[in-house]
Amino acid sequence: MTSLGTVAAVIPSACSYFEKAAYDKALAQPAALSLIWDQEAIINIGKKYRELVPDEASQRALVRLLKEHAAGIEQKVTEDFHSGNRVLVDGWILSATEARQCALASLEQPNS
Amino acid sequence: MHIDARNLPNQSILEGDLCIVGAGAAGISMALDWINAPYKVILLESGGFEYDDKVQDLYKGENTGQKYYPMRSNRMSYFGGTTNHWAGMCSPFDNIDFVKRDWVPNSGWPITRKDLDPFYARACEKLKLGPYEFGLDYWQKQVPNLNPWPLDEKVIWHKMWQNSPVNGWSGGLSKAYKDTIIKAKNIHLYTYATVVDIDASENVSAITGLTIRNHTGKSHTVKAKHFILAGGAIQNARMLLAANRQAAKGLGNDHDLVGRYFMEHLEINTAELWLLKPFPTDLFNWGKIWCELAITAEVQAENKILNGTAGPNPLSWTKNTKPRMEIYQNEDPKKSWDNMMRNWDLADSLGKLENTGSIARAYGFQTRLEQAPNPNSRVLLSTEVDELGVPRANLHWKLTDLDKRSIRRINEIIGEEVGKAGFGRVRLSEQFRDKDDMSWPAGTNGGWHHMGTTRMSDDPKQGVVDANCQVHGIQNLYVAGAACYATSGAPNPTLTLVALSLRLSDHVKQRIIIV
Ligand SMILES: Cc1cc2nc3c(=O)[nH]c(=O)nc-3n(C[C@H](O)[C@H](O)[C@H](O)COP(=O)(O)OP(=O)(O)OC[C@H]3O[C@@H](n4cnc5c(N)ncnc54)[C@H](O)[C@@H]3O)c2cc1C
Repeated sequence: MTSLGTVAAVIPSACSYFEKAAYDKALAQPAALSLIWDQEAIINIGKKYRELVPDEASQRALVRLLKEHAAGIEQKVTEDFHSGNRVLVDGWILSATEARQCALASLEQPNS
Repeated sequence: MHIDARNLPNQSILEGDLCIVGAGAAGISMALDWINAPYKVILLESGGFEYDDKVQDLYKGENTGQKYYPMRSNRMSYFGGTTNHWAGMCSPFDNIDFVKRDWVPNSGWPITRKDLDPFYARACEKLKLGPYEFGLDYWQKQVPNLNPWPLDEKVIWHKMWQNSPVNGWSGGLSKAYKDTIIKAKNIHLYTYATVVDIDASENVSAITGLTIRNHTGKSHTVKAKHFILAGGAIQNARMLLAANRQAAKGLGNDHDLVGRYFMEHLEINTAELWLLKPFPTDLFNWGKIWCELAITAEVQAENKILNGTAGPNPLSWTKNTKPRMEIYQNEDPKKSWDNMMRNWDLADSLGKLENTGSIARAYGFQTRLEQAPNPNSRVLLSTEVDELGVPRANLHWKLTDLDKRSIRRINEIIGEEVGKAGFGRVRLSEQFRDKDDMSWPAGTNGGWHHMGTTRMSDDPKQGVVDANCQVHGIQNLYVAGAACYATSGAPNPTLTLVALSLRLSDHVKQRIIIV
């Protein structure tokens, strides 16, 4: 194989790496918070969470963290409060999972 | 019986068995307790039956510490005392409030809640409350629809208040008891009788008399077997400190404790609670009763925090109110009061307009916190004197990091528990988010609750009065009221101070028989 061939073989996989991760859109909808906030507020909190936790500021990282709880995400939110897996975002005492859901929602925005 | 001291011949000598100085919540409650007893009780009151600017002016003083309400307007000086302005909120202290807590320096009373229980029951009568019942379960049987939020009772409990009908809006204890006191033959109420000096025996082990004065320029002497200072925590300290002819540091002040440990209740908007769904309950509606979220004693110990409660009000209302510490700044107490009422009314109308959508299910928490006893928070004498020649008071109110940390943690705990229970979310107010921020927001309100300036302890080196409220070392001098509190508890002080005063009253009755 030529060296060009090697490059050609690598490019498609690199592209898919940078592509947005595929996930169930429900992961970006924090059920409890949707009862008190509109979408704009959810996105704002999401942006603040990304600033607060830069390691989780990408869609890929968030999807990876949320996906494993996809089946029972509301239960995971409650569990977070019990296990102390909480975050303070803009003063709100939130479960880390629901804060990540907000962050994911904020990344669905164009130019996010 | 009522006598206006302005009409007495100058240099009159008034004699009785017991002399009570001050006709506010403490003084009136005790005087009522002596009606028809075979003793002559002299009840001295600085003011008359109506507000009088000249008398109120005697309260003017300095504030040199944490921003506070003007000294001239933070109490009322006429028959009924500050109950002419009080809101009537009553709830007893908790067991833990009397206990020595290793995480609260200078905590611990020489008496327990159990010692006060019988007097709390009598205090409820004096303040015209319902029965001495402050349990949610009791009130749920009396009033429909008092549904508590589904919180873990091991962490948070619903603490109940009863609101006295003899509040400031309805004329306070003044209107409720003026006639009864005047009609009582053995109670000699002297109005316009301001105590300006206290005379002690040569070795300062007993009080021999008081000097009273008024704006006519006349002064009189009061002689009695027992003397009780019931002028409120600032005045009680001021009277003792100013009586410094025979004891250079003031009476009862051999250990430099008089005036120290001044405490207030912090009443600050600290958080918001947003309910996910409507939760039908009348528990948090203002009325004959009131309810706040309290932290259990175990959780206080675990977190090493002070006692405090969070009171929920509709958020659409609280967000439209201005901090009381900003609007209650007029030197005239009536104007300050009116400013506050106007602000609340405005918040009411603005709030109603905004009360749609999820905010209609949201509450603003006002945290009510005991203040950690702090020797540097104190009442001192100013270099200025009032019109009757008494040095004015200087209030140096000082808060500590424990106060700030406790407020933050209480709200955090509530936020965590609400999340666990899954019925809402809590948002901390800006000044309570950073655990390292020990500053105080502009809205750091006090409840106009003055406590601790003659604190109670069995040890004269730790307290000004003993467990019976007698000034250590002075056999016939006592202090009545919240000045005697060793710690301040979280609830409003008047129910407890009336209970403590009635306990003192019983004690003096026993001693007077022996004499
Ligand atoms: C706006 C406001 C709202 C409040 N709301 C509540 C509430 O809801 N619940 C609650 O528990 N508490 C409340 N309080 C506090 C409550 O009013 C006091 O705790 C209570 O009145 C204190 O009682 P006291 O008898 O010790 O003092 P006071 O009621 O202040 O009475 C002292 C009396 O002594 C007289 N006096 C003072 N010095 C002298 C002197 N040298 N010689 C002769 N007489 C003297 C004064 O003129 C006065 O009449 C409130 C206070 C304010 C200002």
